[in-house]
Amino acid sequence: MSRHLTLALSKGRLLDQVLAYASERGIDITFEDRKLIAHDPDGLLKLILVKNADLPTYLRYGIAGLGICGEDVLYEYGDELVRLLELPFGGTTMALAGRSDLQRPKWGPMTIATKFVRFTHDYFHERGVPVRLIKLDGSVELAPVLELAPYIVDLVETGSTLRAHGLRVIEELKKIKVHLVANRAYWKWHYRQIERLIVRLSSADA
Amino acid sequence: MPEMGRLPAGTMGLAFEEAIRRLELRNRLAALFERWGYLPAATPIVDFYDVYREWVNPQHVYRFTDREGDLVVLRSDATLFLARLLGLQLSEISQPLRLWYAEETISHIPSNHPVGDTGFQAGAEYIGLPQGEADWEVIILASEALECLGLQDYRIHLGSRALARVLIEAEGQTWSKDLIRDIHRLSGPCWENLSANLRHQFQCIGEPDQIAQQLGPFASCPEAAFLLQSCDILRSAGLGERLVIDLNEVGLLSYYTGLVFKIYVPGYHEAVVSGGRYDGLLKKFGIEAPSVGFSLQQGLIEVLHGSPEPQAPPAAASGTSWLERLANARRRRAKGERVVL
Repeated sequence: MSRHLTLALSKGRLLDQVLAYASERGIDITFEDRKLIAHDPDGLLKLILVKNADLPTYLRYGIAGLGICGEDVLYEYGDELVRLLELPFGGTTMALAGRSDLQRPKWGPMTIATKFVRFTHDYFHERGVPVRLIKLDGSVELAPVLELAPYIVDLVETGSTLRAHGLRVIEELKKIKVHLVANRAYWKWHYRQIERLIVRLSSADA
Repeated sequence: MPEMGRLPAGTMGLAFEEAIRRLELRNRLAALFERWGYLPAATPIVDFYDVYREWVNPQHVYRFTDREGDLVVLRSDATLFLARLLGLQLSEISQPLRLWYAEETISHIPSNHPVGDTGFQAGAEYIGLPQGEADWEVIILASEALECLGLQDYRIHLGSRALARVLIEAEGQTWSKDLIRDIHRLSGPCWENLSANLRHQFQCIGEPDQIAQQLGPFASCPEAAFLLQSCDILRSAGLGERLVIDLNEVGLLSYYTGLVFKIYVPGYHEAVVSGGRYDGLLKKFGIEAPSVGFSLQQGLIEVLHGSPEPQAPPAAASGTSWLERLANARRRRAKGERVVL
Protein backbone atom coordinates (compact mmCIF):
# COMPACT_ATOMS: atom_id res chain seq x y z
CA MET A 1 0.00 0.00 0.00
CA SER A 2 1.35 3.44 -0.87
CA ARG A 3 2.62 5.34 2.13
CA HIS A 4 1.25 8.74 1.16
CA LEU A 5 -2.22 9.93 0.24
CA THR A 6 -2.67 11.76 -3.04
CA LEU A 7 -4.47 15.10 -2.75
CA ALA A 8 -5.47 17.30 -5.69
CA LEU A 9 -5.65 21.05 -5.17
CA SER A 10 -7.03 23.57 -7.60
CA LYS A 11 -4.97 26.44 -8.90
CA GLY A 12 -7.70 28.99 -8.35
CA ARG A 13 -8.83 31.21 -5.53
CA LEU A 14 -8.54 28.53 -2.85
CA LEU A 15 -4.90 27.53 -3.16
CA ASP A 16 -3.31 30.09 -0.83
CA GLN A 17 -6.01 29.50 1.79
CA VAL A 18 -5.54 25.70 1.65
CA LEU A 19 -1.75 25.99 2.00
CA ALA A 20 -2.05 28.43 4.92
CA TYR A 21 -4.67 26.26 6.67
CA ALA A 22 -2.55 23.12 6.25
CA SER A 23 0.57 24.92 7.45
CA GLU A 24 -1.23 26.02 10.63
CA ARG A 25 -1.80 22.31 11.29
CA GLY A 26 1.80 21.35 10.75
CA ILE A 27 1.49 20.26 7.12
CA ASP A 28 3.91 22.39 5.16
CA ILE A 29 3.48 22.28 1.41
CA THR A 30 5.57 24.19 -1.08
CA PHE A 31 5.15 23.98 -4.82
CA GLU A 32 8.44 24.80 -6.47
CA ASP A 33 8.27 27.33 -9.28
CA ARG A 34 6.13 26.03 -12.18
CA LYS A 35 5.96 22.53 -10.70
CA LEU A 36 2.54 20.98 -10.37
CA ILE A 37 3.46 18.10 -8.05
CA ALA A 38 4.79 18.41 -4.49
CA HIS A 39 5.23 16.32 -1.34
CA ASP A 40 4.89 17.43 2.24
CA PRO A 41 8.14 16.95 4.22
CA ASP A 42 6.57 14.27 6.47
CA GLY A 43 5.67 12.09 3.48
CA LEU A 44 1.99 12.15 4.43
CA LEU A 45 0.74 13.68 1.19
CA LYS A 46 1.54 13.83 -2.48
CA LEU A 47 -0.06 16.96 -3.89
CA ILE A 48 -1.15 17.62 -7.45
CA LEU A 49 -2.06 21.05 -8.72
CA VAL A 50 -4.85 20.94 -11.31
CA LYS A 51 -7.36 23.22 -12.97
CA ASN A 52 -10.43 23.73 -10.80
CA ALA A 53 -12.90 22.12 -13.18
CA ASP A 54 -10.59 19.16 -13.82
CA LEU A 55 -10.22 18.22 -10.16
CA PRO A 56 -13.22 15.82 -10.07
CA THR A 57 -11.95 14.10 -13.22
CA TYR A 58 -8.58 13.35 -11.60
CA LEU A 59 -10.44 11.89 -8.64
CA ARG A 60 -12.89 9.93 -10.76
CA TYR A 61 -10.04 8.22 -12.61
CA GLY A 62 -8.16 7.58 -9.36
CA ILE A 63 -5.13 9.69 -10.30
CA ALA A 64 -5.72 11.56 -7.07
CA GLY A 65 -7.74 9.99 -4.29
CA LEU A 66 -8.56 13.16 -2.37
CA GLY A 67 -9.25 16.75 -3.34
CA ILE A 68 -10.18 20.09 -1.86
CA CYS A 69 -12.71 22.13 -3.78
CA GLY A 70 -15.90 24.15 -3.53
CA GLU A 71 -19.46 22.92 -3.89
CA ASP A 72 -19.70 24.87 -7.14
CA VAL A 73 -17.16 22.52 -8.74
CA LEU A 74 -18.76 19.45 -7.17
CA TYR A 75 -22.20 20.37 -8.44
CA GLU A 76 -21.01 20.94 -12.00
CA TYR A 77 -18.55 18.07 -12.36
CA GLY A 78 -18.26 15.82 -9.34
CA ASP A 79 -21.58 15.01 -7.76
CA GLU A 80 -20.60 11.39 -7.05
CA LEU A 81 -17.55 12.25 -4.93
CA VAL A 82 -17.75 11.64 -1.20
CA ARG A 83 -17.62 14.77 0.98
CA LEU A 84 -15.51 13.88 3.98
CA LEU A 85 -15.00 17.19 5.74
CA GLU A 86 -16.35 20.71 5.43
CA LEU A 87 -13.46 23.17 5.73
CA PRO A 88 -13.85 26.48 7.54
CA PHE A 89 -12.48 28.75 4.82
CA GLY A 90 -13.06 29.75 1.23
CA GLY A 91 -16.83 30.04 1.55
CA THR A 92 -18.53 32.17 -1.05
CA THR A 93 -21.97 32.78 -2.56
CA MET A 94 -23.49 31.75 -5.85
CA ALA A 95 -25.51 34.75 -6.92
CA LEU A 96 -27.71 36.09 -9.68
CA ALA A 97 -26.35 39.48 -10.73
CA GLY A 98 -27.08 42.12 -13.33
CA ARG A 99 -26.84 45.82 -14.10
CA SER A 100 -27.48 48.00 -11.07
CA ASP A 101 -30.73 49.37 -12.51
CA LEU A 102 -32.12 45.92 -13.38
CA GLN A 103 -34.72 43.95 -11.41
CA ARG A 104 -35.51 40.28 -11.78
CA PRO A 105 -38.41 40.03 -14.29
CA LYS A 106 -41.83 39.05 -12.90
CA TRP A 107 -42.53 36.77 -15.85
CA GLY A 108 -40.91 35.60 -19.07
CA PRO A 109 -37.57 33.87 -19.45
CA MET A 110 -34.33 35.36 -18.19
CA THR A 111 -31.21 35.15 -20.32
CA ILE A 112 -28.28 34.29 -18.08
CA ALA A 113 -24.59 33.96 -18.88
CA THR A 114 -22.68 31.65 -16.55
CA LYS A 115 -19.90 29.14 -16.08
CA PHE A 116 -22.21 27.14 -13.85
CA VAL A 117 -24.69 25.84 -16.40
CA ARG A 118 -25.84 22.76 -14.51
CA PHE A 119 -26.38 24.60 -11.25
CA THR A 120 -28.20 27.48 -12.93
CA HIS A 121 -30.40 25.21 -15.00
CA ASP A 122 -31.38 23.07 -12.00
CA TYR A 123 -31.87 26.02 -9.64
CA PHE A 124 -34.34 27.87 -11.86
CA HIS A 125 -35.95 24.74 -13.34
CA GLU A 126 -36.80 23.44 -9.84
CA ARG A 127 -38.49 26.78 -9.12
CA GLY A 128 -40.41 26.83 -12.40
CA VAL A 129 -38.53 29.85 -13.75
CA PRO A 130 -37.77 29.65 -17.48
CA VAL A 131 -34.19 30.60 -18.35
CA ARG A 132 -32.03 30.79 -21.44
CA LEU A 133 -28.44 29.91 -20.64
CA ILE A 134 -25.27 31.10 -22.34
CA LYS A 135 -22.14 29.17 -21.35
CA LEU A 136 -19.01 31.21 -20.70
CA ASP A 137 -15.70 30.00 -19.32
CA GLY A 138 -14.44 33.20 -17.71
CA SER A 139 -14.91 36.96 -17.18
CA VAL A 140 -18.64 36.40 -16.88
CA GLU A 141 -19.22 39.97 -15.67
CA LEU A 142 -18.48 41.17 -19.20
CA ALA A 143 -21.70 39.59 -20.47
CA PRO A 144 -24.09 42.32 -19.18
CA VAL A 145 -21.57 45.08 -19.96
CA LEU A 146 -21.31 43.96 -23.59
CA GLU A 147 -25.04 43.08 -23.72
CA LEU A 148 -24.52 39.39 -24.37
CA ALA A 149 -26.96 38.66 -21.53
CA PRO A 150 -28.62 40.96 -18.98
CA TYR A 151 -28.04 38.52 -16.10
CA ILE A 152 -25.17 36.41 -14.87
CA VAL A 153 -24.87 33.65 -12.27
CA ASP A 154 -21.43 33.61 -10.69
CA LEU A 155 -19.52 33.26 -7.43
CA VAL A 156 -19.44 36.47 -5.44
CA GLU A 157 -17.09 37.08 -2.52
CA THR A 158 -16.85 40.82 -1.81
CA GLY A 159 -18.84 42.11 -4.81
CA SER A 160 -16.05 44.49 -5.80
CA THR A 161 -15.66 42.99 -9.29
CA LEU A 162 -19.39 43.37 -9.86
CA ARG A 163 -19.38 46.99 -8.69
CA ALA A 164 -16.39 47.79 -10.89
CA HIS A 165 -18.52 46.78 -13.89
CA GLY A 166 -21.67 48.59 -12.75
CA LEU A 167 -23.35 45.35 -11.62
CA ARG A 168 -24.97 44.24 -8.36
CA VAL A 169 -26.22 41.07 -6.71
CA ILE A 170 -29.93 40.68 -7.46
CA GLU A 171 -30.41 37.47 -5.50
CA GLU A 172 -28.18 35.16 -3.46
CA LEU A 173 -28.87 31.63 -4.69
CA LYS A 174 -26.68 29.37 -2.54
CA LYS A 175 -23.91 29.57 0.03
CA ILE A 176 -20.92 27.66 -1.33
CA LYS A 177 -18.70 25.79 1.10
CA VAL A 178 -15.34 24.10 0.64
CA HIS A 179 -14.88 20.38 1.27
CA LEU A 180 -12.26 17.69 1.50
CA VAL A 181 -13.64 15.17 -1.01
CA ALA A 182 -12.65 11.66 -2.02
CA ASN A 183 -13.03 9.06 -4.66
CA ARG A 184 -15.30 6.59 -2.88
CA ALA A 185 -13.16 3.50 -3.49
CA TYR A 186 -10.00 5.37 -2.49
CA TRP A 187 -11.64 6.43 0.76
CA LYS A 188 -12.63 2.82 1.47
CA TRP A 189 -9.19 1.42 0.72
CA HIS A 190 -7.24 4.09 2.67
CA TYR A 191 -9.80 4.76 5.39
CA ARG A 192 -7.35 4.52 8.30
CA GLN A 193 -4.86 7.01 6.80
CA ILE A 194 -7.69 9.30 5.71
CA GLU A 195 -9.22 9.23 9.17
CA ARG A 196 -5.91 10.42 10.60
CA LEU A 197 -5.73 13.22 8.02
CA ILE A 198 -9.28 14.31 8.85
CA VAL A 199 -8.44 14.44 12.55
CA ARG A 200 -5.42 16.59 11.75
CA LEU A 201 -7.33 18.93 9.43
CA SER A 202 -10.17 19.24 11.93
CA SER A 203 -7.87 20.21 14.76
CA ALA A 204 -7.24 23.70 16.03
CA ASP A 205 -3.93 25.31 14.99
CA ALA A 206 -0.85 23.21 15.72
CA MET B 1 -20.75 7.31 -44.75
CA PRO B 2 -19.64 8.42 -41.24
CA GLU B 3 -21.47 5.57 -39.40
CA MET B 4 -19.06 3.03 -40.92
CA GLY B 5 -16.10 4.54 -39.06
CA ARG B 6 -17.52 4.80 -35.56
CA LEU B 7 -19.63 3.12 -32.89
CA PRO B 8 -22.47 4.66 -30.88
CA ALA B 9 -21.17 6.57 -27.83
CA GLY B 10 -20.28 4.31 -24.91
CA THR B 11 -20.18 1.03 -26.81
CA MET B 12 -17.16 -1.06 -27.67
CA GLY B 13 -16.33 -4.53 -28.83
CA LEU B 14 -13.50 -6.91 -28.05
CA ALA B 15 -11.31 -8.72 -30.50
CA PHE B 16 -8.32 -11.04 -30.47
CA GLU B 17 -6.48 -11.22 -27.14
CA GLU B 18 -9.10 -9.18 -25.25
CA ALA B 19 -11.88 -11.50 -26.39
CA ILE B 20 -9.77 -14.54 -25.50
CA ARG B 21 -9.14 -13.13 -22.04
CA ARG B 22 -12.84 -12.40 -21.45
CA LEU B 23 -13.69 -15.96 -22.41
CA GLU B 24 -10.90 -17.38 -20.28
CA LEU B 25 -11.90 -15.39 -17.18
CA ARG B 26 -15.54 -16.29 -17.73
CA ASN B 27 -14.60 -19.97 -17.98
CA ARG B 28 -12.67 -19.78 -14.72
CA LEU B 29 -15.71 -18.26 -13.01
CA ALA B 30 -18.04 -20.83 -14.58
CA ALA B 31 -15.87 -23.66 -13.27
CA LEU B 32 -15.79 -22.14 -9.78
CA PHE B 33 -19.55 -21.55 -9.63
CA GLU B 34 -20.26 -25.05 -10.85
CA ARG B 35 -17.91 -26.57 -8.26
CA TRP B 36 -20.01 -24.77 -5.65
CA GLY B 37 -23.18 -26.34 -7.10
CA TYR B 38 -24.54 -23.25 -8.87
CA LEU B 39 -26.50 -23.68 -12.10
CA PRO B 40 -26.10 -21.32 -15.05
CA ALA B 41 -28.83 -18.87 -16.05
CA ALA B 42 -29.17 -16.57 -19.05
CA THR B 43 -31.56 -13.62 -19.02
CA PRO B 44 -33.14 -11.77 -21.96
CA ILE B 45 -31.33 -8.65 -23.09
CA VAL B 46 -34.56 -6.70 -23.64
CA ASP B 47 -37.66 -6.56 -21.47
CA PHE B 48 -40.63 -4.30 -20.76
CA TYR B 49 -39.56 -1.12 -19.02
CA ASP B 50 -42.62 -0.93 -16.75
CA VAL B 51 -41.60 -4.18 -15.05
CA TYR B 52 -38.42 -2.52 -13.74
CA ARG B 53 -39.62 1.07 -13.36
CA GLU B 54 -39.51 0.90 -9.55
CA TRP B 55 -35.82 0.00 -9.40
CA VAL B 56 -34.00 1.59 -12.31
CA ASN B 57 -32.97 5.18 -12.80
CA PRO B 58 -34.54 6.26 -16.12
CA GLN B 59 -31.50 8.43 -16.83
CA HIS B 60 -29.19 5.41 -16.61
CA VAL B 61 -30.97 2.93 -18.88
CA TYR B 62 -31.57 2.65 -22.59
CA ARG B 63 -35.28 2.57 -23.46
CA PHE B 64 -37.07 2.43 -26.77
CA THR B 65 -40.37 1.25 -28.26
CA ASP B 66 -40.62 -2.18 -29.85
CA ARG B 67 -42.63 -3.13 -32.96
CA GLU B 68 -45.83 -3.38 -30.91
CA GLY B 69 -45.29 0.08 -29.46
CA ASP B 70 -44.34 -1.16 -25.99
CA LEU B 71 -41.61 0.67 -24.09
CA VAL B 72 -38.72 -1.76 -23.57
CA VAL B 73 -35.41 -1.49 -21.72
CA LEU B 74 -31.98 -3.04 -22.33
CA ARG B 75 -30.60 -5.22 -19.53
CA SER B 76 -28.82 -2.87 -17.11
CA ASP B 77 -28.78 -5.02 -13.97
CA ALA B 78 -28.43 -8.79 -14.22
CA THR B 79 -30.00 -9.45 -10.78
CA LEU B 80 -33.22 -7.66 -11.71
CA PHE B 81 -33.53 -9.48 -15.02
CA LEU B 82 -32.83 -12.79 -13.31
CA ALA B 83 -35.52 -12.17 -10.69
CA ARG B 84 -38.00 -11.46 -13.46
CA LEU B 85 -36.94 -14.61 -15.33
CA LEU B 86 -37.51 -16.73 -12.23
CA GLY B 87 -40.92 -15.16 -11.75
CA LEU B 88 -41.88 -16.16 -15.28
CA GLN B 89 -40.56 -19.71 -15.09
CA LEU B 90 -41.27 -20.81 -11.52
CA SER B 91 -44.43 -20.66 -9.47
CA GLU B 92 -42.70 -21.48 -6.19
CA ILE B 93 -39.28 -22.38 -4.81
CA SER B 94 -39.53 -25.77 -3.10
CA GLN B 95 -35.86 -25.92 -2.17
CA PRO B 96 -32.95 -23.50 -2.25
CA LEU B 97 -31.79 -22.60 -5.71
CA ARG B 98 -28.26 -21.54 -6.59
CA LEU B 99 -27.73 -19.75 -9.92
CA TRP B 100 -24.87 -18.00 -11.67
CA TYR B 101 -24.66 -15.84 -14.78
CA ALA B 102 -22.11 -13.96 -16.85
CA GLU B 103 -23.70 -11.40 -19.15
CA GLU B 104 -23.32 -8.05 -20.80
CA THR B 105 -25.19 -5.15 -19.28
CA ILE B 106 -25.86 -1.83 -20.92
CA SER B 107 -26.53 1.34 -19.00
CA HIS B 108 -25.84 4.97 -19.66
CA ILE B 109 -22.71 6.29 -17.99
CA PRO B 110 -21.76 9.97 -18.41
CA SER B 111 -19.13 10.46 -21.09
CA ASN B 112 -16.49 11.77 -18.65
CA HIS B 113 -16.72 8.63 -16.55
CA PRO B 114 -13.98 5.98 -16.87
CA VAL B 115 -16.40 3.10 -17.41
CA GLY B 116 -18.15 2.81 -20.77
CA ASP B 117 -21.84 2.01 -21.18
CA THR B 118 -21.22 -1.65 -21.93
CA GLY B 119 -20.41 -3.70 -18.86
CA PHE B 120 -19.81 -7.40 -18.35
CA GLN B 121 -21.25 -8.68 -15.08
CA ALA B 122 -20.82 -12.13 -13.62
CA GLY B 123 -22.49 -13.13 -10.42
CA ALA B 124 -24.29 -15.64 -8.30
CA GLU B 125 -27.63 -15.70 -6.51
CA TYR B 126 -28.71 -17.97 -3.66
CA ILE B 127 -32.51 -18.11 -3.58
CA GLY B 128 -34.76 -19.60 -0.94
CA LEU B 129 -32.95 -19.26 2.40
CA PRO B 130 -33.41 -16.47 4.97
CA GLN B 131 -30.45 -14.48 6.32
CA GLY B 132 -27.66 -16.55 7.77
CA GLU B 133 -25.64 -19.25 6.07
CA ALA B 134 -26.73 -18.21 2.56
CA ASP B 135 -25.32 -14.70 3.09
CA TRP B 136 -22.02 -16.10 4.37
CA GLU B 137 -21.80 -18.57 1.48
CA VAL B 138 -22.32 -15.84 -1.09
CA ILE B 139 -19.66 -13.58 0.46
CA ILE B 140 -17.08 -16.37 0.59
CA LEU B 141 -17.98 -17.32 -2.98
CA ALA B 142 -17.46 -13.70 -4.09
CA SER B 143 -14.01 -13.68 -2.47
CA GLU B 144 -13.08 -16.96 -4.16
CA ALA B 145 -14.34 -15.57 -7.47
CA LEU B 146 -11.92 -12.66 -7.16
CA GLU B 147 -9.07 -14.97 -6.26
CA CYS B 148 -9.77 -17.25 -9.21
CA LEU B 149 -9.50 -14.16 -11.43
CA GLY B 150 -6.05 -13.48 -10.00
CA LEU B 151 -6.91 -10.77 -7.47
CA GLN B 152 -5.47 -11.68 -4.08
CA ASP B 153 -5.30 -8.18 -2.62
CA TYR B 154 -8.83 -7.03 -1.84
CA ARG B 155 -10.97 -5.90 1.07
CA ILE B 156 -14.62 -6.66 1.75
CA HIS B 157 -16.66 -3.87 3.31
CA LEU B 158 -19.67 -5.35 5.06
CA GLY B 159 -22.69 -3.23 5.97
CA SER B 160 -26.37 -3.67 6.63
CA ARG B 161 -29.34 -2.04 4.97
CA ALA B 162 -31.54 -3.38 7.77
CA LEU B 163 -29.40 -1.77 10.47
CA ALA B 164 -29.25 1.51 8.55
CA ARG B 165 -33.05 1.59 8.46
CA VAL B 166 -33.25 0.95 12.20
CA LEU B 167 -30.87 3.85 12.88
CA ILE B 168 -32.74 6.18 10.55
CA GLU B 169 -36.21 5.32 11.80
CA ALA B 170 -35.12 5.57 15.45
CA GLU B 171 -34.36 9.22 14.70
CA GLY B 172 -37.84 9.73 13.28
CA GLN B 173 -36.55 10.09 9.73
CA THR B 174 -38.12 8.45 6.69
CA TRP B 175 -36.20 5.87 4.68
CA SER B 176 -36.10 6.83 0.97
CA LYS B 177 -34.12 6.40 -2.23
CA ASP B 178 -32.85 9.98 -1.86
CA LEU B 179 -31.57 9.19 1.61
CA ILE B 180 -29.69 6.13 0.32
CA ARG B 181 -28.02 8.31 -2.33
CA ASP B 182 -27.12 10.94 0.24
CA ILE B 183 -25.62 8.42 2.69
CA HIS B 184 -23.61 7.04 -0.22
CA ARG B 185 -21.96 10.40 -0.95
CA LEU B 186 -22.15 11.90 2.58
CA SER B 187 -23.96 14.98 1.38
CA GLY B 188 -27.28 16.28 0.13
CA PRO B 189 -30.53 17.52 1.64
CA CYS B 190 -31.46 14.24 3.39
CA TRP B 191 -27.93 13.94 4.80
CA GLU B 192 -28.13 17.47 6.22
CA ASN B 193 -31.33 16.50 8.08
CA LEU B 194 -29.61 13.72 10.02
CA SER B 195 -28.19 14.36 13.48
CA ALA B 196 -24.42 14.84 13.79
CA ASN B 197 -24.23 11.54 15.68
CA LEU B 198 -25.97 9.61 12.92
CA ARG B 199 -23.86 11.28 10.23
CA HIS B 200 -20.80 10.18 12.16
CA GLN B 201 -22.10 6.60 12.44
CA PHE B 202 -22.64 6.40 8.69
CA GLN B 203 -18.95 7.19 8.18
CA CYS B 204 -17.69 4.48 10.54
CA ILE B 205 -15.48 1.77 9.07
CA GLY B 206 -13.51 -0.60 11.25
CA GLU B 207 -13.25 -3.52 13.62
CA PRO B 208 -16.34 -5.10 15.19
CA ASP B 209 -15.56 -3.80 18.68
CA GLN B 210 -15.06 -0.25 17.38
CA ILE B 211 -18.33 -0.42 15.46
CA ALA B 212 -20.20 -1.82 18.47
CA GLN B 213 -18.89 1.08 20.53
CA GLN B 214 -20.01 3.58 17.89
CA LEU B 215 -23.47 2.05 17.76
CA GLY B 216 -23.99 2.46 21.50
CA PRO B 217 -27.36 1.04 22.59
CA PHE B 218 -28.11 -0.10 19.02
CA ALA B 219 -25.24 -2.59 19.14
CA SER B 220 -27.55 -5.15 20.71
CA CYS B 221 -30.45 -4.79 18.26
CA PRO B 222 -30.96 -7.93 16.11
CA GLU B 223 -29.79 -6.20 12.92
CA ALA B 224 -26.50 -5.07 14.50
CA ALA B 225 -26.03 -8.39 16.26
CA PHE B 226 -26.33 -10.24 12.94
CA LEU B 227 -23.86 -7.87 11.27
CA LEU B 228 -21.30 -8.37 14.05
CA GLN B 229 -21.86 -12.14 14.11
CA SER B 230 -21.44 -12.30 10.33
CA CYS B 231 -18.13 -10.45 10.58
CA ASP B 232 -16.88 -12.94 13.20
CA ILE B 233 -17.94 -15.98 11.19
CA LEU B 234 -16.59 -14.73 7.88
CA ARG B 235 -13.26 -13.79 9.44
CA SER B 236 -13.06 -17.27 10.94
CA ALA B 237 -13.93 -18.72 7.52
CA GLY B 238 -10.66 -17.39 6.14
CA LEU B 239 -11.28 -13.75 5.29
CA GLY B 240 -9.50 -12.51 8.40
CA GLU B 241 -8.79 -8.80 8.34
CA ARG B 242 -9.67 -8.60 4.67
CA LEU B 243 -13.20 -8.03 5.94
CA VAL B 244 -14.19 -4.88 7.83
CA ILE B 245 -17.53 -3.54 8.97
CA ASP B 246 -18.56 -0.41 7.13
CA LEU B 247 -21.72 1.39 8.24
CA ASN B 248 -21.54 3.53 5.10
CA GLU B 249 -22.33 0.50 2.96
CA VAL B 250 -26.12 0.55 2.88
CA GLY B 251 -26.59 -0.77 -0.67
CA LEU B 252 -27.19 1.77 -3.42
CA LEU B 253 -29.90 -0.24 -5.19
CA SER B 254 -33.31 0.14 -3.64
CA TYR B 255 -34.14 -3.60 -3.51
CA TYR B 256 -31.59 -4.52 -0.81
CA THR B 257 -33.00 -5.48 2.59
CA GLY B 258 -30.29 -7.05 4.79
CA LEU B 259 -26.52 -7.54 4.74
CA VAL B 260 -24.82 -5.67 1.90
CA PHE B 261 -21.20 -5.70 0.84
CA LYS B 262 -18.71 -4.24 -1.61
CA ILE B 263 -15.25 -5.41 -2.46
CA TYR B 264 -12.47 -2.94 -3.18
CA VAL B 265 -9.03 -3.50 -4.63
CA PRO B 266 -6.04 -1.12 -4.46
CA GLY B 267 -5.50 1.26 -7.33
CA TYR B 268 -8.98 1.01 -8.76
CA HIS B 269 -11.54 3.75 -8.50
CA GLU B 270 -14.68 1.66 -8.03
CA ALA B 271 -15.82 -1.39 -6.14
CA VAL B 272 -15.31 -4.50 -8.28
CA VAL B 273 -17.99 -6.55 -6.51
CA SER B 274 -21.26 -5.51 -4.91
CA GLY B 275 -23.95 -7.65 -3.40
CA GLY B 276 -26.38 -8.25 -0.62
CA ARG B 277 -29.70 -9.63 0.54
CA TYR B 278 -32.87 -8.68 -1.32
CA ASP B 279 -35.76 -10.50 0.33
CA GLY B 280 -38.67 -8.59 -1.19
CA LEU B 281 -37.61 -8.51 -4.83
CA LEU B 282 -38.73 -11.92 -6.06
CA LYS B 283 -42.16 -11.44 -4.47
CA LYS B 284 -42.68 -8.51 -6.83
CA PHE B 285 -42.21 -10.97 -9.68
CA GLY B 286 -44.57 -13.57 -8.25
CA ILE B 287 -42.39 -15.84 -6.09
CA GLU B 288 -42.14 -15.65 -2.34
CA ALA B 289 -38.46 -16.42 -1.74
CA PRO B 290 -35.73 -14.67 0.24
CA SER B 291 -32.53 -14.19 -1.76
CA VAL B 292 -28.97 -13.02 -1.60
CA GLY B 293 -26.38 -12.55 -4.33
CA PHE B 294 -23.54 -10.56 -5.77
CA SER B 295 -22.39 -9.23 -9.08
CA LEU B 296 -18.79 -8.91 -10.11
CA GLN B 297 -17.73 -6.32 -12.66
CA GLN B 298 -15.67 -8.59 -14.89
CA GLY B 299 -15.15 -5.72 -17.33
CA LEU B 300 -13.43 -3.71 -14.57
CA ILE B 301 -11.27 -6.65 -13.57
CA GLU B 302 -10.14 -7.02 -17.19
CA VAL B 303 -8.99 -3.39 -17.04
CA LEU B 304 -7.06 -4.15 -13.84
CA HIS B 305 -5.19 -6.93 -15.59
CA GLY B 306 -3.85 -4.41 -18.14
CA SER B 307 -3.31 -5.20 -21.81
CA PRO B 308 -3.33 -8.94 -22.48
CA GLU B 309 -0.16 -10.61 -23.73
CA PRO B 310 -0.15 -11.10 -27.51
CA GLN B 311 -0.95 -14.69 -28.45
CA ALA B 312 1.74 -16.71 -30.25
CA PRO B 313 0.53 -17.53 -33.77
CA PRO B 314 -0.70 -21.12 -34.29
CA ALA B 315 1.68 -23.58 -35.94
CA ALA B 316 1.29 -24.45 -39.61
CA ALA B 317 0.36 -28.02 -40.59
CA SER B 318 2.90 -29.90 -42.70
CA GLY B 319 2.24 -31.93 -45.85
CA THR B 320 2.38 -31.58 -49.58
CA SER B 321 -1.36 -31.63 -50.22
CA TRP B 322 -4.36 -30.15 -48.44
CA LEU B 323 -5.49 -33.62 -47.32
CA GLU B 324 -2.04 -34.40 -45.89
CA ARG B 325 -2.00 -31.07 -44.03
CA LEU B 326 -5.49 -31.78 -42.66
CA ALA B 327 -4.39 -35.20 -41.40
CA ASN B 328 -1.26 -33.73 -39.85
CA ALA B 329 -3.25 -30.96 -38.20
CA ARG B 330 -5.78 -33.43 -36.78
CA ARG B 331 -3.01 -35.52 -35.19
CA ARG B 332 -1.36 -32.48 -33.61
CA ARG B 333 -4.65 -30.89 -32.46
CA ALA B 334 -5.51 -34.17 -30.72
CA LYS B 335 -2.35 -33.60 -28.65
CA GLY B 336 -3.52 -30.07 -27.76
CA GLU B 337 -1.53 -28.04 -30.31
CA ARG B 338 -3.03 -25.03 -32.10
CA VAL B 339 -2.59 -25.71 -35.81
CA VAL B 340 -3.81 -23.97 -38.96
CA LEU B 341 -4.02 -25.63 -42.34
